[in-house]
Amino acid sequence: MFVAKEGVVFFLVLVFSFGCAKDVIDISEGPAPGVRVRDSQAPHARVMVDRVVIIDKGLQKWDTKKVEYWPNWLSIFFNGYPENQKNSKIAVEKVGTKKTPVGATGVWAVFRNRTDYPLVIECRVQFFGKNLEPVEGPSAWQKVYLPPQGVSNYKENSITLERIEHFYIEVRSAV
Amino acid sequence: MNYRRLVGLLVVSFLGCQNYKTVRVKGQDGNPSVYIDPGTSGPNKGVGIESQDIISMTDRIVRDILNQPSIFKGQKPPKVIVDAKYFRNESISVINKNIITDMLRNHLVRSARGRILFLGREYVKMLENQDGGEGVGGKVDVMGGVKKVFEWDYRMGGRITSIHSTNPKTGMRSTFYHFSLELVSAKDGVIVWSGSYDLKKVSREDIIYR
Repeated sequence: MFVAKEGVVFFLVLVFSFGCAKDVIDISEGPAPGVRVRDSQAPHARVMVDRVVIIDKGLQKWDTKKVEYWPNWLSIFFNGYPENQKNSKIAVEKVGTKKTPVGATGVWAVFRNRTDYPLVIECRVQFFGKNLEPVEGPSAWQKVYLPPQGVSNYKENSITLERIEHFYIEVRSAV
Repeated sequence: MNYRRLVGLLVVSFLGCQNYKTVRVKGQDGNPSVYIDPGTSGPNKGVGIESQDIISMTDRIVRDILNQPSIFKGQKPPKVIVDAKYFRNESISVINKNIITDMLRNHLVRSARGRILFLGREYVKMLENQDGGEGVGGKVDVMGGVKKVFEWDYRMGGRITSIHSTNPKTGMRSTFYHFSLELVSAKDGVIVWSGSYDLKKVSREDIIYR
């Protein structure tokens, strides 16, 4: 009896295993629909409005020796939640918006160079409406010069006077 | 017995099925293209004025002008001339000044949306020749009408200046550029807006600009 039950179990496991191992068929006919990507392993992959995002992998990572005196998760007891676990070369200290005298929208961001070397970064901004519809195209890339351990800022105004609800600032290294 | 074991195995096998593997996007290039983003520096990295400099500068200046309240003081939209006549290149870089003023004017015309009117002084001959029967200008005093049409409130002027240095031992070149642009009032010559754009480039490459 026991052998029979074990046999049934192994049979079922085998069936499930075969069920998992599906062949992937490449159907090349027709266009591929453009879709949004939802990936639990990449929670920051979507458009994050009202924030500054660093799109340059070279700026995101800064190879240096990381000294930790306690497990990382314990840091929530000392300083809220751990910030900037990726050792980014730059820190975004502040970001905000304001209305200009003519009624346009201005955005600003304050950057701090965490390295001992001068950095040149480029920033651009895109403005969106209430439903995240683009109100105007992205601005041109503007250079921001950061001295070693120094602070600098990026400011940009919208062209349109239409109602702007959201912004999206991208940062990359200047080449 | 072993029903627990059975259920356990089934759960494990189900979990095994649900544990999908995410396929990461490989950061690989697509097909090679001859086109590159004009707002980004290309393979030729020299110390001259390049497309990304002009695009960055014009974009910054357009946003600055359109957010300048002193230009929009009057009831009527001001009439502005943006051309290269009073825009001088005193830098060491060879550049067609019209590319800067044309980009500025195009960008401003599209962005201002009637808040500022831009005069096509370059096309004055077009209006003068209307009495040839192509348009309506032949009915009136053409020259007087044209002069009235081209009355302006503000005109753009400015210059590009530079400081250049070369290290003969290393061949390293360094150039600092200063773009100065101003809007001058036709009434009294007052500068109602002034904008500048600075950039400094260092390179060992000997790029020829034309």
